[in-house]
Amino acid sequence: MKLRLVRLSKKFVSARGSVLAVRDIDLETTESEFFVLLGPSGCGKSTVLNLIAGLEKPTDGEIWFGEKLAASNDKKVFLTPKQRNVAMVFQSYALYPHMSIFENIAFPLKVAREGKASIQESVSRVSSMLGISHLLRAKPGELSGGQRQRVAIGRAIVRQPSIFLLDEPLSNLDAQLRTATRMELKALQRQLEITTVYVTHDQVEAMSLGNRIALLSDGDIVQVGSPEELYNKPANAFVAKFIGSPPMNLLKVDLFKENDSCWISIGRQKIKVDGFNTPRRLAPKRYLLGIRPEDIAVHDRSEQHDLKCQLLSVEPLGRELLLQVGLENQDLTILTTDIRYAKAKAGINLNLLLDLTRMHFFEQDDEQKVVFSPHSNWTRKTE
Amino acid sequence: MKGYSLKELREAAPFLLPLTIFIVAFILVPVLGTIVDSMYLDVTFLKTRFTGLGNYLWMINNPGFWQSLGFTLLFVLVSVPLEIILGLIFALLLNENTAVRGLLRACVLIPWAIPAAISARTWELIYNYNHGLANFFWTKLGNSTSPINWLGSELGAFTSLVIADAWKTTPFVAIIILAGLSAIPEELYRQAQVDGANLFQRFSKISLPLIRPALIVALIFRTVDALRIFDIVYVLTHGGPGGATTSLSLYGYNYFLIGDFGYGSAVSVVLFFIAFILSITYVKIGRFGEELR
Amino acid sequence: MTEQQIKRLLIVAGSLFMLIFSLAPFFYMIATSLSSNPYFLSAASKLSLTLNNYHAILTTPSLHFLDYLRNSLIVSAVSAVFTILIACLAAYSLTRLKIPGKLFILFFVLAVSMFPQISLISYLFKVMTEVGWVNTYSALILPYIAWTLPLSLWILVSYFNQIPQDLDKAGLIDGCSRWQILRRIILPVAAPGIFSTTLLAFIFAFNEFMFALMLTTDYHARTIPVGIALFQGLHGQTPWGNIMAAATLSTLPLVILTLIFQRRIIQGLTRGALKG
Repeated sequence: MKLRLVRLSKKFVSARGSVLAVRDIDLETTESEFFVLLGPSGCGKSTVLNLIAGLEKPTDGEIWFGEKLAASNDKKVFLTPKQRNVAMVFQSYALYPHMSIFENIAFPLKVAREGKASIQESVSRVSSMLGISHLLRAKPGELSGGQRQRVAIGRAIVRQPSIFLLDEPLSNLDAQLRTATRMELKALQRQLEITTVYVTHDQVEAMSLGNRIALLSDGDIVQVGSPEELYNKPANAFVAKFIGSPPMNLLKVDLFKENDSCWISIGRQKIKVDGFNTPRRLAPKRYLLGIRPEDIAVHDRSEQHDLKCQLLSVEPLGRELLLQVGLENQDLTILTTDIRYAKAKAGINLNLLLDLTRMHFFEQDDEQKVVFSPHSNWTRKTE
Repeated sequence: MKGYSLKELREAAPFLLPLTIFIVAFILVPVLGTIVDSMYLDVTFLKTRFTGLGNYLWMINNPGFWQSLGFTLLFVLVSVPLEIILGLIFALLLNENTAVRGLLRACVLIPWAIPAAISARTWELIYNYNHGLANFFWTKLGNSTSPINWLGSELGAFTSLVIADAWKTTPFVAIIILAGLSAIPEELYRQAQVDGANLFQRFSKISLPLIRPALIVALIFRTVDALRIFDIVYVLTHGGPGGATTSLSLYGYNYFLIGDFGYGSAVSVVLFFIAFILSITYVKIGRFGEELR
Repeated sequence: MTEQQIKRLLIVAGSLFMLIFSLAPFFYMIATSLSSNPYFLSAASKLSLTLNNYHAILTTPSLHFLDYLRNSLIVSAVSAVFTILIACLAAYSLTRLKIPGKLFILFFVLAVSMFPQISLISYLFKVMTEVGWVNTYSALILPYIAWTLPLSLWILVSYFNQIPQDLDKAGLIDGCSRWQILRRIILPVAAPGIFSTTLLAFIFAFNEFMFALMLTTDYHARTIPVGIALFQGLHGQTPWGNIMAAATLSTLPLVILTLIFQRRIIQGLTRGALKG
């Protein structure tokens, strides 16, 4: 089923004034897509989910479930969650504490007045699929977090909903369990082929799970695309910094032309950026240069394109090192596998080599839109 | 109405309807009816006619009214602080983690659970001049201590009422304050001990300020309840001797008994407004407190 | 003495005082009920134990003791049950549905609970006389429901507020109507709190005096507090033994309830009072 949001808005009115939690969102999923709503707290992603579910009424705009209009203020349409046949997994799992696991999973079927035999069959099918058949007689209070989560998922999929909504379902699990469950969720969704909308603030989760991701900020969609698109071609500095861990470095640089060559200066240092798909068409002025920590190399040989900096701190991450350096009054984060620097002392001078094929340039204003992105297949430009 | 849809309101209405019906029919309407009736000469066997403020004027000139008003206010002034202090002491004791804490709490609760009218008869016997428990202990204090005329003297009747009321209502105050006390984290006291505070200082600098909201709640409840006191006065002293312990409620009731509904209603209205002013003040303080939160 | 010792001493002494203060009248009541001579304290006569008083009140029909007790139990139980039902409905809507002025409604109800009973009684009496309900169960049950509603509502609102709203949302998603959510999810989950509140409502109704005094005239509907309050002797001598026996028997159920459910009662009361 294709979910479609058209100019969707939601305004909350309280005694303290009104808040526009969702502004004019346009979205369309494909059939059976695993679609992720990603963003920091307060960006409106949970509100969008509640609107899709029918737990909130839109202030403006329309929600379409395939060919059926689910909600529209203008056309005075509002289908209840029951009528939309949605299923939802909450962050808190929201299991009914007074019912057994069997009764929890069976509950939506019971409300829909299905027969006892049919309910029995559906619940055992789902519980064996999720590996919780042995827990059917227990109560939620007796289960671990991971088990409870499976029950919540079971309750959601037991009646074959048209759309599957998940609100940060993994955030209450410990890190190890989270990774394992993530993989299982992905496999499950592929098996069930239900359109899924998944809300999270964790970009690692989003990148690994989603077919496509919509990054939200302050009620707006900042960018929609596949994980690769968001990673390689961020639409602005916000996306660039949000996606990828450790986050992309943003340096204030000045772009200028000298003798028909392109240079960027950082503080008192400058490097030539000629010879690649250079940002020749960009006007010479101040920009934000985006470069990921893994695209910066540290070495001790002095070369033409070196930048000299000072080491601030070293953080070992297992097989990699995270180096914090100071470059002309700006801080840079570098990810390197060169473990020689593991015992390096703060204050020593280092040479950096930027991978100029991986540079992004952003406007240095409020919006910080991207003006230049590295091409995935760069060709060396010859003079 | 901003932000509310008609459909949602219609959905909620049936849930609130029974509550509204009962409160309106059995509390609001009677109160209004009483206020209206107070402006009538309404005595059984006499022709009912509108008198406006006639009943109230008569009230102002009636020494019985001032006597009962005086008693009621004095009763509030004496019993409420007593109950608060006693309740505070009980709460402190009940907060201690002793093995018998549950049993202690249950025992302290018993006076509250027993109907005032019933325990008042026990107090009636306790205060019996010749044979009661009170004088039994009082005369034991000294060889020549003479028994107190508890129920027959004005001061004695007043005191016996205060004690009996305190006995019944202190548990309630204690529980309220106890709730406030048990919410105070243990670490605060330990920190204070480390900082060198002694027992009394820990009480006055930590416990007391942090239970202020509970104290205020208990104060408001007890004041309003003391104002409308009826049960023990009716049973223990019957308002005597000579009307000395007639609370306003009893004063009004006595007129109902003789069929003067008009004047009795007027008395009720006066009491109602005194309590009303207090409850409005409480609402204002309560809402102000909510907003602060 | 060290501070620890002083504290211990204060606690023990204080607790002893508290215990004696709370229970002494109660034990005096029981002792008198078991004595053939209520004046055993002064006559220097021994407390001669006897069950005559109990026998008298239980077997003398003209005393109507069992009638009063029965009336009290029925009236209190019925009004408690209805109060809780009505309060559950209202509390559910106030904690979960979109209603303007929720806080106002709650505080208004609280203010209503502070009205003096005397300002209701004359009108109620007249109305009850008009419809001929004086001295019937209805005359008491209906006002009792209204009278115990405010406190019950406050306590239940406090309990319901504790139940996570996610459960309601899950219920909606699973296809329930609001009514079904209340019945199948909220009420079962809130069952302990509802029980505590019902207890409190029962105790309140049982203790009520003024309405019963004015709205009942004889054993057909008169409740036990009124019955015992008006219990006078026939020949000028107050039958203290009988009175105390009646008092003991009628307060026994309450005492037992309190001893067993002490924790619940305290919990309910504090929620009702401190949520304000």
